[in-house]
Amino acid sequence: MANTHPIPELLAPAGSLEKLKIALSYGADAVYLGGQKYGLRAAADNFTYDELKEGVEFAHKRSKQVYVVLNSFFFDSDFLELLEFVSFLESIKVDALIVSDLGVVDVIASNSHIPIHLSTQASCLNSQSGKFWKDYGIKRLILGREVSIHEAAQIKKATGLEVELFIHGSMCMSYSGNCTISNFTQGRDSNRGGCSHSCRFDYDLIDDQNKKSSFFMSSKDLNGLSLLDDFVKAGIDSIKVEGRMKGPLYAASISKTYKEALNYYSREQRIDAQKLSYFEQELNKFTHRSYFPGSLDTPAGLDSVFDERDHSKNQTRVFGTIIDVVEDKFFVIDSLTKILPKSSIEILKFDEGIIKYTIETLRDLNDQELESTRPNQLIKVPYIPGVAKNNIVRVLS
Amino acid sequence: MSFSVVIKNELDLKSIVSEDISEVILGVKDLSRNHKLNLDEFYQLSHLAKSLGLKRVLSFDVLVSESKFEKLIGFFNAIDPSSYDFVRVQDLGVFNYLVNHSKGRFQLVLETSFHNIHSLRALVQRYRNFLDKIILSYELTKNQVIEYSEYLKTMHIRSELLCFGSILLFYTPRKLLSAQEIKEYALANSNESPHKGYEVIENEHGTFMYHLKDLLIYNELKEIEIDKRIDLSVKNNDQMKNFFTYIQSTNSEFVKNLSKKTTRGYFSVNKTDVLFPKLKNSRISRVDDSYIGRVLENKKGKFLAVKVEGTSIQLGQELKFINPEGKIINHTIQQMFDLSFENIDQAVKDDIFLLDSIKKITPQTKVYLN
Ligand code: SF4
Repeated sequence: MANTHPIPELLAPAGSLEKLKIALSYGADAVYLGGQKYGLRAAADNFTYDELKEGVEFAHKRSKQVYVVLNSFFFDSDFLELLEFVSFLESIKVDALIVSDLGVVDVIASNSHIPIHLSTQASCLNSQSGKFWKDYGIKRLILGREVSIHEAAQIKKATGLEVELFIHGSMCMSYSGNCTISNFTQGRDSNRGGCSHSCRFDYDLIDDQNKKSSFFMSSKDLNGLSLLDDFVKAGIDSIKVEGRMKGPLYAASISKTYKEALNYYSREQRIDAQKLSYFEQELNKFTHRSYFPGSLDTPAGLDSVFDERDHSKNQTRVFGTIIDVVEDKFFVIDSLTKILPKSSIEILKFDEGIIKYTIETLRDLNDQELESTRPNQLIKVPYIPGVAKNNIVRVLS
Repeated sequence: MSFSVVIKNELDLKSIVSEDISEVILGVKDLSRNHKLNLDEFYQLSHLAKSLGLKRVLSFDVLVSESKFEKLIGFFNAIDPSSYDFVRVQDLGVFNYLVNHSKGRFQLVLETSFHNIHSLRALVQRYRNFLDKIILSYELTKNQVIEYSEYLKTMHIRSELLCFGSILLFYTPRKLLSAQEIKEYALANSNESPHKGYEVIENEHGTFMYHLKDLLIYNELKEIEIDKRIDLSVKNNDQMKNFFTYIQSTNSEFVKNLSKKTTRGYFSVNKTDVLFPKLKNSRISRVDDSYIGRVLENKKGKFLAVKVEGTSIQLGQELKFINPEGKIINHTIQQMFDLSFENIDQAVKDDIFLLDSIKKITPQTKVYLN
């Protein structure tokens, strides 16, 4: 059946070069990532100049895009190295910069031709705000997490700009850019990458009569998979997944699942209940808080609070990454966890599908039999047709 | 001296006794984060303020969704323009709308960002004729406040800074107290940090959390030519009168008797990014110069596996290993192997090569060409 609506770009997080390659190999159309400065994730690995160059080359070879985040709220001293960095980014041909500060927008727009996307940090919630930013040269609005799909479509229409919405991942409870808890309690500026996640803390709430312990500021995790049809029909240009700090299993699973769902939708113009349930199951296979659809459909309600300490018990764990394949002989997994012989593993293929396999005997690189694996150990497995270098391997919990 | 004072009711209005008040900030509950008045009550208060010779600012500081935009603008347009002298907005969309659809100049709250002169200049360049006043961020340091307010003055735009009052930490449209079956107000004590006593307020616009301490920088701001805002929390309004007595007498007993402790925030120095380097182990961070790759495994007495992520490597070259503890180990390659333990004389990007195992090297050790 012919596709009548353009399929949105799938935009995945890339917290490291390794995760960039994973996300793009598993189907993301574009990735966003941070350099060593300005990128709002002070604790992340972040990309060096060489890694940025390699990441962009890797993406462009596959006709995919790389967006670099410069979305911290700049102080004056932060501008000292900005132009040099931007001219480097232009020289390696990054596809867009994600910015939240008007001064940064202005400096970049006047000194480069790189398209600028307005970061969600700027909390753009309405068309008029979109028009304000458009006048400064913004090409795409990454709308606030409070914006519904319907509202995003209206904003797109009114501004003539591309719109991007988060579809999956952890959520700030606050309007983005409007939370300074870390700034004033931990001395770490959350709007420059130092958020200490105070909204996830346990609090005693005391009113006139009662004292109640709760995680009242903690949000459930966003999951908009079931609204894919609405995203497509509303003409949303890009659907974005949160999670630059998350691990390789997340990068692979999320890109693979959403890409398969988008491909399926593109073919069938719908996702039937059975298929949706399969994709939902895949999204349940890694650690997350309870899911909810955010404000994508209706404003997040009273049940949007994740009033618990623990995340969901995950059905799978990452076992490791296939670091090399010697065709017809063996492949090697860089193990990240302990598993026992006879464990059932699942190898996530880059294209659709999963290889299920039981490892009867665990062997190290010297072919010695092991009682169990440990993190950072190279495990040799007899060759299985279809496996590829950089495939992620998960183990059933 | 010039003060702008947030007034929530008649009592507040009667408790301000100073000739230095340039304007009072009033509001209606539909447009304002924490004013509670309906339109009639607002008119009454506005009338009273006018009779006292005060300039009146209408606060329209909620952030506005696309769906509510038209309704709120309609509400705003229905307010009698003679009931206020200025309008104060925070949502850039509301600001943009007013600039294009109303006459006059507006007050723009930039308290959560615009921490650099470039952003102010970019704003002023385009909107100079529409800006009466800019409310600067209380995360700015004294030097920044002086520089920015002087710049704005040259552009004939007034500036203002919070001088005494609540520090807003968090604003969400979600009803976080209702979700806990609590009405409107609570104190939140974190069990995971020593901080206690955050005021949490919920109303029709969402939930707001305030710092346990109030900002008080009157002495620091005294000499700076900028409007000083007094914006006391719901629970602290009794201090308004005392504040004006305090600034006349500078009797420090006032500070001691406050129901909330005070802080000078970041006015002296803002070092909220200095802890960042400590958030990660720089020894396991890659440095581009001469980078070869990282160690995957070091099996005692057997092998050391390195993944090449940077420059190619060949026999005879000297490697420098930097382990996660920062220890440096140098090693010249005499022999190297592939994953099948076959001898090789070079390894290129994405290859994994094996060496004989070397002491003190652990996984995640970075490898450089020496
Ligand atoms: S503390 Fe929570 S709401 Fe605030 S910036 Fe961090 S994640 Fe967002």
